[in-house]
Amino acid sequence: MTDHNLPSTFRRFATQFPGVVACHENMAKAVDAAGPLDAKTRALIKIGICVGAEMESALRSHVQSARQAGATKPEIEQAILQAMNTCGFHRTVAAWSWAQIQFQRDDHSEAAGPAGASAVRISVKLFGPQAHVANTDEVRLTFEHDPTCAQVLDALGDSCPEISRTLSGSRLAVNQGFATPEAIVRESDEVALIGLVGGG
Amino acid sequence: MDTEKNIRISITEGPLPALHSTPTNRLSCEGAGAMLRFDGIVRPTEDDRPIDGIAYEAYEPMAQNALRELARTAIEKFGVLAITVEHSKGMVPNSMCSFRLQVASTHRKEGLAALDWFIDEMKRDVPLWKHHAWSSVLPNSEEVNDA
Repeated sequence: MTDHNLPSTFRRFATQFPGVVACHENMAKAVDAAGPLDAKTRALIKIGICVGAEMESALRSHVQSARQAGATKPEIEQAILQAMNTCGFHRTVAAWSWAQIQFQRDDHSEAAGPAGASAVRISVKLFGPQAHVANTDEVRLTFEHDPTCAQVLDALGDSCPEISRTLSGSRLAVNQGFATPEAIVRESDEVALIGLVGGG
Repeated sequence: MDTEKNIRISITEGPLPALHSTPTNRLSCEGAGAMLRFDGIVRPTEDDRPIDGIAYEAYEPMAQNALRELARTAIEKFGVLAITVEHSKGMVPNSMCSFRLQVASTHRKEGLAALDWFIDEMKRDVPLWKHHAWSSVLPNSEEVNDA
């Protein structure tokens, strides 16, 4: 995971407490190097730990790490299902659903990467509660043609089902100004999702 | 009147310092008959739950532009003379100031109306968000509420 894709909450925490985060990362490196387990196995074990502890954000992060280390979707799903008799049906199914969200997110990002030369790639910045719920502060979307703002919002809902219910009360900002649903978005535009704001 | 010279916008890290310690932040305006100031203070509780403070998040370039545009509109709409807006980003402990709006006007009525209008518009359109830091072991703070 690049720094850019780290959850926004974690990055805010790291900005405020860099020393604590450095110690945390050193500990992670130390335990990774403490034995013979390879990266894929370690990631699958961490997924299992997250199922038991009902840690959605961490589970999704380790699902992403596991796939980067070569784990397939069936392998990850089997790792989660190992919790069935130990942790119970409720926790296992909840964890499986979190993994599906991450699969969908990663598949969408991959699609945005090697798409054809004519594809239009739009990055949408997320802020506030929506960034927290989606566990990211940027979502990359791909379109065949320059989309309208309404189409970008629709695609956001498909890509991030966690925030889909908040989209009806949200607006898109294009190049730092609110845009109408009919406005055309181009790849070079700066696009941001502005949900319920709360200054003051 | 050069409207831009009479508008000052700033988004700064942490709580806003008291005006007596930063006198240059105090709005002054020749010919004004009313100098109005609103200080938004972080309350010690939210929905009856104690908080340590509020962490403010800003989409900063857009927030700066949006605040400036609101100030321009307020000057035109209400005929006020000058506006200064300061808003915090990052953590602001409770009882500290996170938002300060100063309005200079010829008479109090248009100044008070502009001040009230500005705050309502800001809370609706300016991309600023709050994260409450609850005074408990587990942070659980992604609600958006009025200060």
